[in-house]
Amino acid sequence: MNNKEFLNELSKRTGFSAKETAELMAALTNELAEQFEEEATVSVMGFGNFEVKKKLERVLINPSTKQRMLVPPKMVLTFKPSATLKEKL
Amino acid sequence: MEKKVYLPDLAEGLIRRKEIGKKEADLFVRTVFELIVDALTTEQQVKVKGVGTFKVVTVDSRESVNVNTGERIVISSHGKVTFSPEKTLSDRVNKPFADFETVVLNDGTRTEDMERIDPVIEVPVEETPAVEETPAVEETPVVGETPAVEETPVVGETPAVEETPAVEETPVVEETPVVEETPVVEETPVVEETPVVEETPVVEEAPVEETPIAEVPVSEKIVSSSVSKEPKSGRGWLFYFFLFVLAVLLLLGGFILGRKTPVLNQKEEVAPATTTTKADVSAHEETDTLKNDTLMAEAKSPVANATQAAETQVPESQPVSAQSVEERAAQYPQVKNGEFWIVGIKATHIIEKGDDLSKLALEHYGNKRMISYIIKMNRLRDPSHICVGQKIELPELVSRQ
Repeated sequence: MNNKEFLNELSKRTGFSAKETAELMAALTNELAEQFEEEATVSVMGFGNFEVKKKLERVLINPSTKQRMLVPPKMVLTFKPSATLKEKL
Repeated sequence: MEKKVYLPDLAEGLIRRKEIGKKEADLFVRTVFELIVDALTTEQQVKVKGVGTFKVVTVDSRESVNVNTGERIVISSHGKVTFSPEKTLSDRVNKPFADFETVVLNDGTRTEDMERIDPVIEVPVEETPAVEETPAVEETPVVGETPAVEETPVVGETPAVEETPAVEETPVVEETPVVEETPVVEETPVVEETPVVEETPVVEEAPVEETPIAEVPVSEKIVSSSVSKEPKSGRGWLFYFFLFVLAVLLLLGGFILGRKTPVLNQKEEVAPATTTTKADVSAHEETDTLKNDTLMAEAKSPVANATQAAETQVPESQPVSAQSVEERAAQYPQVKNGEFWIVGIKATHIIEKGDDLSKLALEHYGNKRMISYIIKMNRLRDPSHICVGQKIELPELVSRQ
């Protein structure tokens, strides 16, 4: 399901117009992103947890060229589905 | 420390951004996630713009063991949700580290490497003699004159010493003096003049192997470098240098002569040569130390026995073998690209409990690496698999040089 289909279905379910849903959705993703920037854990009942994790820097070796690279530390957004979501699938 | 956000919080954020009622916002946020779940149950993947892609990956059924009871259980095939954030979102998340980039590390980047390089730069003098003199036979004195080697850290010597274990090469050492008899006498004074006493270890190695032509420049280099290193000590370093060059030339001449003269000569001279050299050695104090050192080296190294054995063999076998080494070698399996030819059976060993081949190699040849010759000699398929009572033939080895 792509974004268009998703928005269509969403507007159908919530009763908002397509335009409104698109705007609302954009606002929601913005809100989410903002939370993630603050390294917050977003947990949604029956869906799962979004968590921001720190990854340490590491040395990586390109197996074909044997070149060593230093990969910098980074923040990664992870998602862990909840038990109920797992059961549904 | 960690902030937890739930659906109501998200709804609040939504209200802040858009003018909608609390109820609607709640409903909207909830339906968004419900919809995702529903969509996932019916479809393989759901893309949400600005967030990312949720995918369902089917996991094959597999067997496992119940940790508590030890029973085998089958984990049936099921779907697994994976989420990959959109690029824009992951970039936003990673903002604090956005400035970092993956950096290619050069070889020398680590400090360990740096430390390793430094001595190399200081000691090139050492390395060159070690490497290049090895093949040659004659340069005992030349080596003796390189005091620089001794002054520079001991590092260079140890590898050289490790090379010595090549058992059969030591007899070659015995030969060298034969060739050089005349030069030896002349060189020893040189040795005396040079202030450095402990040339022995080098001496031991050097005689073992050296290509004569290659050395001249090498040795000269050595001299110059050594000279440059001890400018404080000698105003007459030029004099030393001259002496050194002279000695080298003499040696070379001696070596060439020795080469030309047939093997018979060698045979005759072997015995006296050794004695004379020893006499020479004892005559000079420094050389005395040389001898001591060599003795000590012998005592320390398990090679000692082997070397002695080799020495005893040499006078008889060497001249003969020189001619027929290849014939004899042809009768035995040979180690590819090895340093030695297998030319006969030195001894047989019956395996006892606790024996292993590398131990045998160490006992009889002074070097674990010689195990390859034992393996080859006995055509062992699996060297880690030997039985008590098994007969192991220990090959007699002759240097390929």
